[in-house]
Amino acid sequence: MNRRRELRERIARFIDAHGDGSRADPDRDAILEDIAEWQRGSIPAYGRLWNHDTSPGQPPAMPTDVFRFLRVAQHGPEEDLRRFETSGTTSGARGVHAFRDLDLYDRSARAAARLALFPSDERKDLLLLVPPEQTLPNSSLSYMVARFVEWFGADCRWAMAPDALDHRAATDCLRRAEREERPLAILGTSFAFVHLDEAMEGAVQLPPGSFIMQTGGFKGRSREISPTDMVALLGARFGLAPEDIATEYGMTELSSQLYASRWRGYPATLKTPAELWVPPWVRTTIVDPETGRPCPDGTEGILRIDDMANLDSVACIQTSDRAVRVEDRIRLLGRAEGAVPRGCSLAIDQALGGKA
Amino acid sequence: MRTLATAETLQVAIDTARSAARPLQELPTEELLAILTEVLRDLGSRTSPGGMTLRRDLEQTTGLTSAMIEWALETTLAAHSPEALRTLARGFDHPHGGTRRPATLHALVLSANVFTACISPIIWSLLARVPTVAKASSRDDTLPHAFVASIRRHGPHIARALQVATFPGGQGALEDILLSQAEAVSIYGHDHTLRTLSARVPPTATVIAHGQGLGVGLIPAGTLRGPAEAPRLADQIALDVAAYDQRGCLSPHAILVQRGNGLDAEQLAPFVFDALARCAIKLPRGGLPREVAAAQLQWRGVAQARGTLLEGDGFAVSVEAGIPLRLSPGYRNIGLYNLAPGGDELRAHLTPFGTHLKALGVAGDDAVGQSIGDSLPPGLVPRISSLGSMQTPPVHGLVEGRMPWHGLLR
Repeated sequence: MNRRRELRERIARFIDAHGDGSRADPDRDAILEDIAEWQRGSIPAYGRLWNHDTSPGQPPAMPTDVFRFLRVAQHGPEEDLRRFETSGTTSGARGVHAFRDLDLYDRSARAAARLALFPSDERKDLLLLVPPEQTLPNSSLSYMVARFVEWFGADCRWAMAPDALDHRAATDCLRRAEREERPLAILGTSFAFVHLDEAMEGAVQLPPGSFIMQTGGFKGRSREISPTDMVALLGARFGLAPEDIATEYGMTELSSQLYASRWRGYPATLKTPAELWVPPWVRTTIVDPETGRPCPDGTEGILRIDDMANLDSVACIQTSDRAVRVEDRIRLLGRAEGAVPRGCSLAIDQALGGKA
Repeated sequence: MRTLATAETLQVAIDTARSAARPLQELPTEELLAILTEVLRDLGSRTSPGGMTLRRDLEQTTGLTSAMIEWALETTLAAHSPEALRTLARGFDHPHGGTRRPATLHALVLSANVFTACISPIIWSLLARVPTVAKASSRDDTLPHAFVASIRRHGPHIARALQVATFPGGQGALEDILLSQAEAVSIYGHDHTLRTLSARVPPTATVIAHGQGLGVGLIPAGTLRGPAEAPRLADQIALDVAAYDQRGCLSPHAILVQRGNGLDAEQLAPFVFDALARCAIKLPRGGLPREVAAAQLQWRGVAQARGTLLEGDGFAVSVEAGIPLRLSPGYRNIGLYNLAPGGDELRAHLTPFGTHLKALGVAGDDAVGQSIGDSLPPGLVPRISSLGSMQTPPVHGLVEGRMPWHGLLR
């Protein structure tokens, strides 16, 4: 318990100290190593991975699929404060990420969002195309967005029930922002934006200071739209420049998020995909999927994420997302085919009647 | 790169095939068998011009190593021996009951995961005397074209009855041209392909579906008495796993070891590992596509986290507990599972696969396998075979529960 408390305090101090986005802190790697070492001893499934370690210089990474088959937590279920679940997959089994407390999650999410989305102290009107937390308590995205409402929101409107987009509420909110020239931030999944686009009649000219945060991709469901086409679609519908269309990358198995926005990373343009900013308390590695070893910079591989805020599960996570490093940013290239399809965007599309 | 079909060339192929219906139907069976035997001998020859060209091209298109290509050709063509073809032909000439009329046109939609999979349906089409247009995958159309070329050499008077058109899937206009004129439509491929194409087949045609599938191996209680028998059994399992780099719809993705054997799954795993290592020398694996590598990374990680993983160079064996079975990503990754004796747990594991379970390899004698096959619930019609021969089905057996001429003869 003392070790956990000590690590928790180190992590919290690190996140707070880097709330300005500053990088190049050697403490990051040391903290990650210490977390992994502690988790090795306290999570048997993770300890077993160490016996097969093929990644020299780094602790082994836990594949995201493990969360679908095993409990990945340092504590017992009786201590769960919250359990986030992945969206349903084609195989049916959901991954579960259990939290004993959400302080580090909140600290990380708030610091990153402050840097990447809400750099001003002034609160902003929000339109949420995500089901409210009360209706989807197991969704980490709904939880995160509900915190954004608390931390950054002024006048906020939820326009998404678990099984339907309230496009009238969304349209009313958009028209009001346009009419009153009140900057508006729209946060939602890619599929929700597509459904809103299909439901709306005519375009909206959002005032300066407005932006979109989109998350999730298209996993071969209903419509599949490339990131650059999405920029064009959203820009035309909402009157926004590409730099005002931000991308958020997160997953149930993580506590932290990556962003590409006007303020951090490079948002997608009409020709180029987004390049994600990585918060200072997160380490990313592009690995060769055949060997699990790091790839040279500029080489496509599979994204590994070491997230300091993942104290009570496993900090070192192996995704199935294809990516390439561009200097200190990450460019996502899509999900590796053959990997289990996933994503909150998928669940929302199902709810809205998208095809399986 | 081969020229892709256009609407015009596809219609020409259809018309050409149809025009050869009569010569094909009037050809005496013995002569047809002689032609097929020569074609298969030609393709199986490493020294004939056709055989050499075929092997060179297959190395480019299949992603398999030359050793695996040779094994695949050898075993597939051996299964289509003159005796086997003669037995098959008797069935086609005298199908059960009723009158027979060959379908006027067979549209044969092929997939690319197992390059030899085209041989049997092409032979069935010819034995049924049905003009056929094979839609080959743009990823690999080598063997269908080689077959056609060989028929032109050895049976020019009927060669027009078999045409091959290559175009990528999803070319709706081309697919519609072919489907709308066929009276029998065989579809090999993913379930999505099956659904998409079946929906567009006219009601006057018969769809002969061969959707995606997998195999499972089973070691019934009492068949593996002890370690002395393990290496031979492991070799059989390894061959089934290694064949076609585990990409086929008959490839096993799990081996179930019932309790009541001399070894359990954990004890058998090292033998299977060693056998796969031997296979890797005799029949090396081909390249690993990047997307499969990503899935393999996940699969092996789960195995490490929840069970045992024995990892080799280009292969891996896991031992895990639990239901449901975890399907491997293929490419020589295999999971071993302990199972209670009797049929209940076996059925619980297998039933969810439904018609996707295409092959069940069973250790022990044929009677054991037959008994297990008979105990499976309706709707499960895997091919039952011994371990070691899961990927070399006989040509004259049932095909997914149906006679080979199903849909071709009306």
